[in-house]
Amino acid sequence: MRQTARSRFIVQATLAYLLLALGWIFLSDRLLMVFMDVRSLVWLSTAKGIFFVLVSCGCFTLALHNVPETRAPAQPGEEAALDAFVARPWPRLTAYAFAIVLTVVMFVVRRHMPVVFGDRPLLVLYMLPISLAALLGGLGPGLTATSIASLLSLYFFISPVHSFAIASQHDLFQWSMLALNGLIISLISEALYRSRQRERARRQQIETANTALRASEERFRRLFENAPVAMGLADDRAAILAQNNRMDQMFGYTLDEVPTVTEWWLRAYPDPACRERAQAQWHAAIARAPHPDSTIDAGEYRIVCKDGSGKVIHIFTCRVADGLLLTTFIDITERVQAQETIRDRERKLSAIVDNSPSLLSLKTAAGRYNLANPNVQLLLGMDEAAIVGKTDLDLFPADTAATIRANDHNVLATKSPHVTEECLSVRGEPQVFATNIFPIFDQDGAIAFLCRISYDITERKRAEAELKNILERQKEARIAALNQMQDANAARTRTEAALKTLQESEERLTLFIEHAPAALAMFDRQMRYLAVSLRWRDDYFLGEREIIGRSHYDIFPEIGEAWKDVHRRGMTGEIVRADEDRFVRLDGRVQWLRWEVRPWMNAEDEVGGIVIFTEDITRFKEAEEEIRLLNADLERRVVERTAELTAANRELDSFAYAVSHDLRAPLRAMNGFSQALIEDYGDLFQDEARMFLDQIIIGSRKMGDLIDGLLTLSRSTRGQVRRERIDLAEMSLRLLADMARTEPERQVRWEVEPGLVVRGDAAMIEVVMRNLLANAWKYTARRQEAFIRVAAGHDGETTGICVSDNGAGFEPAHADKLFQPFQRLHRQEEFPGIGIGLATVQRIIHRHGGSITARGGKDAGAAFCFHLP
Amino acid sequence: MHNKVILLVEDNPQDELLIRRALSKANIANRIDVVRDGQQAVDYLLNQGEFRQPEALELPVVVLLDIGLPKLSGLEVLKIIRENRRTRFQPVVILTSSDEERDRFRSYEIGANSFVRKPLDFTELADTVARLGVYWLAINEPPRNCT
Repeated sequence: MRQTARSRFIVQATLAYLLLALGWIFLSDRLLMVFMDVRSLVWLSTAKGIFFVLVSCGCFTLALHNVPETRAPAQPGEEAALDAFVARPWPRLTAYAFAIVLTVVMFVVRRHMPVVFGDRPLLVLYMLPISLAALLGGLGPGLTATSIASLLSLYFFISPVHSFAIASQHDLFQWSMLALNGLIISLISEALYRSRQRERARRQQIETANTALRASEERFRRLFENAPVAMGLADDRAAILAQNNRMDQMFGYTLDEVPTVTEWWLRAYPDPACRERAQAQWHAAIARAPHPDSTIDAGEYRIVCKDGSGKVIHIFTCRVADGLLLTTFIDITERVQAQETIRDRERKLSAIVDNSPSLLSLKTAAGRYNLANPNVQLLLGMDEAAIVGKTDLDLFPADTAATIRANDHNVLATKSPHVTEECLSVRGEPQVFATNIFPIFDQDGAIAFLCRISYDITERKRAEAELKNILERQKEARIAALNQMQDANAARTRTEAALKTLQESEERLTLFIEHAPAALAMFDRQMRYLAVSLRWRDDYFLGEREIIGRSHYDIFPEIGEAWKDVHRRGMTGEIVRADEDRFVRLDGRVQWLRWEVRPWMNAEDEVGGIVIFTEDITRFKEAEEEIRLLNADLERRVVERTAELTAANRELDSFAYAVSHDLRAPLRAMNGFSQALIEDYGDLFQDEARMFLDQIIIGSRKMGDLIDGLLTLSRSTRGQVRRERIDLAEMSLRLLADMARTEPERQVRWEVEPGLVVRGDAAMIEVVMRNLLANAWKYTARRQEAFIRVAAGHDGETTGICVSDNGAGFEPAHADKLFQPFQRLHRQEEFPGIGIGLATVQRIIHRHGGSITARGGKDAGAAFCFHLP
Repeated sequence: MHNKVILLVEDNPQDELLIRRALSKANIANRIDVVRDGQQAVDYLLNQGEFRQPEALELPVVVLLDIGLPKLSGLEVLKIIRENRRTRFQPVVILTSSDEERDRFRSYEIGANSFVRKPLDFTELADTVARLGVYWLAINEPPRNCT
């Protein structure tokens, strides 16, 4: 449409320009032909050019202003400027006046300037007023200007002058062109003007429509914002376009926080399972909608708000436009809660009513039953539906109904509760009820209902009556008994004595159990405590609690099936016991017990129950554990010490090895070279010098012996001690025979007890025997009748081997020094030696874990007794 | 017999002097070569190191070998001698101050021909050495073609 208007305008404008330009060229050049002189020709040409420029400028301005806008609407200011030109702010008459005046002015100018224009009509001059008038005023003023110009030029300038006739054909043509041009220009201008007018009208129309639309939008917005219910607007891509204030308040989230429907679901239902259910409900509701544009009741939803609180909302939604969904949220939380509270109360009340052991009924003030609980239904033998709406007269016999009604009236009159006893007979049996009747008021304070709560006290009444009866009879019986009493007195005394004995015996038993030094408890067949010892109370932390008569399992609920089984076995007559058993008490304490469960027999020789005996051996177990730990520690320390000892021994070993190698060489040198001196240069020495050299030799030998002794001592305890059977008698005989061979001059008698056998390391024990026998041999040297004896000897409680002699003996006072290395009790001149033998003997014996003792006296012989384990 | 050499492996010069004296007192006039440590002993016997000769010398009639020696101990020397084809039958007498049982055991285990303890007293030493000399030089028959 718009495009068509634009094309039409372009065609019109092009056509106008074509006509104007063609007319101009045609008329102006004809005009120039009039002038002979070049000067005026040039002037005229210039004027013609300027005139063309002015006219075409006017045309352009008009044309450009009339280009219809394609995109943005014209700015208001621009619009006004355009209107100023096209809408003719002046009245139409002014345009006519302008056309007349301008044409007349042109006529006057032409008439008074014949010199310049010559005697040609020069009709083209009138094109200016015609064009301007047409442009400014449209068809009317254009035609006016054309008419005036045509008439004036015809009358005054076209020959014959001062007449409306036309002489030459040429003039006629020119004049006709003028008239035609004027007409065409006027028509085009009018068309332009009209088109502009239409455009303006259209624009105004649009403007009006826009304003109305904006007002409508604003109204909608205000309605949406201030609606008393929460609303949200979403498009078909699930984006939330708007939400109102109520929505912000209700849900807590702003539009920025929850920009999409998906996000809304996430926030409202943090729990995925709930969310899925709610969304399913939503989609089902949408699917159920009868028409796409109808308002859909999507149902109730329990959502979570920003502050974490839950709300129940009722959601409605409807499609307001293509893809736009307006959703309304109504907060029904309070209503739902109130409903739930009411339902809850109803449930409770009805439970109370249904389960009450009393007869409970509700009647209107008019006496019609409104409610009857199951007990009432049972009494009447009909269900509630049958009772509701009926009166007492319908349900009970007439007299009973009257009684009930009388009591009801009492309450209706006093408007206060009434407690009474009613004797009612239903189905012919009279029953006594304790009844409480009270009114329930409505909002206005009037009595809405009467509530009756009754319970059957028939039995109680009967029991009371019976009791009374019995008491009466007892009274009689007592009188009769009093008579018999005297007879019974004697028998009673006897019985009492027997009872007392029994009681005392029982008391003694109880006392015995109570103070028994063990934890002891006696139970009956139901595992109830009959008697219990104080130790039992102490061990099981029962304190002063009253337990007699109470079940063991009540007091110790932690007792398991295993134990119960043990108790059951006891009940069957079996004796069950355990020497140690571990228990973990409820508070985590561990107890070790020794226990025994045995049955006890009653007078009928049946199992009357069981006796449990327990002993808390926790302390023993703890002590045992402590000992075990200590032992382990000791063991560890022994291992450590052994390692240390082994290391020390190794060190000592290498020391001894070095001694045996390195200390001997210098001694050998001393000895050897001294001897060499004596041999080679003996003659040169005086006696004293010889003696000195001899002393060096003796010293070096002695030193050698000492070194050997030390080595023997150190080696005596080296290596593992083997335990093998050693025939000591055989060994002693062999050693003594050796000694006799070495010193055949000695007369020594010996006696060896046959069958002396010990267990030990043969090599080491040989060293022992050799030393002891050698000592005996040596120290009996001065005896005429030397005697050595090897025999089993008794030293205190242990039996050992004794090597005794009748030799020089020793001072008992110095006995303690005998076994120390390098300690000697005899001078070297008396008996030579280095004092290492007995030290070696003692170390070997100790190494075997045995002991050695020495007995003796000065010149009274010596006895060395050793004992091997 | 007099051209037979006795090899004395002894690090202590005093002991060497005493042994030489003991030998001469026993009228043993053989050449006595002395080396001071185990390595020298091995080199001497295997014709190597500082003792290398263009032509290998005849082996000594007996080696008197101490145990406590610098560089290689007497027992190590003995082991090398026994492992070498040339010297495996070489008579070796361990002559030492030690009377350690384990030394004695090791010596025989490796293959010593004899184990003799150096007595401390020179008279005894002289006697011992004299007997040794007589035994190894006069009585003992070494295997022929022992190389």
